[in-house]
Amino acid sequence: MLSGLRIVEYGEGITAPACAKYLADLGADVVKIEPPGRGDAARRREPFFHDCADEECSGLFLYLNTNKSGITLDPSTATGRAIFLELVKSADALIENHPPGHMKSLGMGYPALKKVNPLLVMTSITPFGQTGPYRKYKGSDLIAFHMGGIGMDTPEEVEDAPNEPPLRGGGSQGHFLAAVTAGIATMGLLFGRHQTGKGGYLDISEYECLADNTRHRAAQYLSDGVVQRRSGGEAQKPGHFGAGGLQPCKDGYVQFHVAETHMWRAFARILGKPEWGDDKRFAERYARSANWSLAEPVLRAYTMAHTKEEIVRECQGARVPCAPVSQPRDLLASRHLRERGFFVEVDHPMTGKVAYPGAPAALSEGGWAIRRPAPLLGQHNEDILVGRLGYAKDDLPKLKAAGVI
Amino acid sequence: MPRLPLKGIRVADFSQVFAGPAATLWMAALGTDVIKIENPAHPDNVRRASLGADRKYRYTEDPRISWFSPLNFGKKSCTLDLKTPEGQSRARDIISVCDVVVENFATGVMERFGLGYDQVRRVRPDVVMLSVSGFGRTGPDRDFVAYATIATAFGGLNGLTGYEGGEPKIIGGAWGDLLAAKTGALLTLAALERRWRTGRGQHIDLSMSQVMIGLAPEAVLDFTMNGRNRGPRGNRDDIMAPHNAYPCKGDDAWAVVAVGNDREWAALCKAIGRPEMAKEPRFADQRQRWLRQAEIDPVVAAWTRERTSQEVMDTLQKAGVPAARSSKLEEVATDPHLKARGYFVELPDFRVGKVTALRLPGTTDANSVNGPAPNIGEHNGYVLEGVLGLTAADVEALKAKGVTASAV
Repeated sequence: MLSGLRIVEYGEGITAPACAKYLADLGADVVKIEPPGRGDAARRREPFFHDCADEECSGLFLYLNTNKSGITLDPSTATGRAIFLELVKSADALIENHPPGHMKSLGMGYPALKKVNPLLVMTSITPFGQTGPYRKYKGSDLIAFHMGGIGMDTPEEVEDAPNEPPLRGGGSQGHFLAAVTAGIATMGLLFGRHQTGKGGYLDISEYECLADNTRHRAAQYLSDGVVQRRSGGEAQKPGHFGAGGLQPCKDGYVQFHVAETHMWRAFARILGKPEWGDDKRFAERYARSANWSLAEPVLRAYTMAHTKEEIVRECQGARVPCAPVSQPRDLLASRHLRERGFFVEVDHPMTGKVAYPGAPAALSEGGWAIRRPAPLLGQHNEDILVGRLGYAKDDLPKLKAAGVI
Repeated sequence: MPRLPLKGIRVADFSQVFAGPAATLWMAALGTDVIKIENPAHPDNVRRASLGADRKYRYTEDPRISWFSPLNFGKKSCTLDLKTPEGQSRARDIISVCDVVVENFATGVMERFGLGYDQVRRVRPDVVMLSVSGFGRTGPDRDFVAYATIATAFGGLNGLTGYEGGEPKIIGGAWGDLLAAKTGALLTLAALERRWRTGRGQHIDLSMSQVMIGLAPEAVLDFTMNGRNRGPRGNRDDIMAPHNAYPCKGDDAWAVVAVGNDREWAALCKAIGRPEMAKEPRFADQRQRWLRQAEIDPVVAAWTRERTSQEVMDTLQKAGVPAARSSKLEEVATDPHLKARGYFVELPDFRVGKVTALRLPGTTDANSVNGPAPNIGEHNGYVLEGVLGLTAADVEALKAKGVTASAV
């Protein structure tokens, strides 16, 4: 979809690389700049292929950096800076995630880069933004997720609050949310150039990206001051928005969300209690929630006697909202995901062919593809410096010796 | 006032609640003309939604409290009953002058309204259509009844979230809905870019569960590379330590700390009054600390317990240690840092004067708000008469048939 767009990625870890990945997988030409010698910090993150802690074997790095050309470059050197500026001059966007002030200290803040390339869209992703009292505070995925308030909603209800801390979503989902948000904002400005004729600067704060998910509740609070707590008060039974909640079953767990009364009626029939369909103890959503202790043993007996697949097939067959709580093995075995072509095999020199999560959508005209695996460290130094920027091949060893690449 | 990047693009927005409107909110903020099409008898449920202290949905008519404004500012509202042939015709007319269609109905519903992708393409061949659903519009599970919890469970995220060795937990907020909406917005903008160059649109059949899977690639790759199935790990990290949530002074108050290297470790030890720990050989490097974090956590907790989460954050950050409060909603809503950044904006509202909303990340004072949230049917005149060219008599006839209604 985005072939013809040129992106320079200057960052490490997840936020900037994931943002650039989204655009790369959609066809953009992405040049990824890594620190010479040590490379992107994500290269040292698990999971490692066959537990081999090699900088070319991090599953996280491999996933995040598909389709990109990789160069090593130190823009704090004079030559490094010149190379960086040349890349930026012919780029449509620069995506970076260094601490506030870093780019300016290199003489490459947006005002300087704008002079070099007025059409450039520059996206800076930081934990707390470029401005404000917390701008110098350091971040991480744990910090973003909890600072943004999602931790105190995960889970929403606990029975023993002092011993049940607020949780982070598994993996690094805070970082990925910031990356998607930065991607939307970047694409907006890129598209906007068709009529504005100029680029722009985006100050993306991870904190704000996470807080955005409760924008409606924060706005409500500012008007009525109502807050929710994790426990105490009117303790809610599992799934007061949708009855059933999480249940263990024969081979794992299933998740129910029986929100509407017609769904409850169908569910009651499946549980062998059709009379509960009209029983006023369960007739409406909050009654179901309040009286859940009466229904749970029957539901538990049902789920413990069946597998995830059996339960989901029977319940969804009767239009009762239910899903398996998937483990990765379930996802790879899913006929639905296979028929949607979701997982894609990526061949990499160190790992051979490995299945990766693929596109989040089916696209009627295509435009999403993994054309190349993640680059080896410095793999495209020659392609980019010699092939694109016109340096001589003989220059490369000198640049390397000088620590420029 | 600088020209907004997507001015001139028009969206026919059939979506409701979270999973579509959060995407079209971005489009509205970027300057598109978003026409939200609502059934006059059954408007977007979010118009009356708020949350009580007991976490029950609370019906409200107050636009200051309802969730509608923060999710729908800058959009226009036109009422049409899509179950009627007349309503479907008018919807197709609107689409014929739009660039984008967004919907998040169950699979098959748009087709029943005569507004499926193939039908819409007949009136607007280059349309970009975004469909958001739990499982997608194709595949054996396409008809699954899906909520965000269902798609997120299927996508494996619940199985990765929880206390170490414990049962799965649900991620808070409308996580699945909002991540799907945002991913959808990104793909829609990319599709508009391609359409600009090629003149061709497309159907973006977005599956929330597929979005969810892509958010946790570490777990997927650990299986596809190594055959392992990860489970929940609490607040812990694969390599960083200490890395956890720690109890603080006050009611259910917590702070998180994430130490990523030896320098941060030394700074933490000093800040909590235990500088000697930085010299202990059994905590000498990250790997050692990770293996022994169960010994380290209680020491940190003893210090954090005496302080509020804000004090923990400020003290440790000033010492160079990554730390943050585990924010309560009200702490975010009143955060002076966000206020200083201009995050809270006022929207005009014809009923109550003004409503506070939060701007979108990356927007600035100059472009954060493209107008207030619309009242139901507020823009019937603009859409039906202005855009479609119907006469006032035509519109009255539609009202008489219940196809549309007067603005409230």
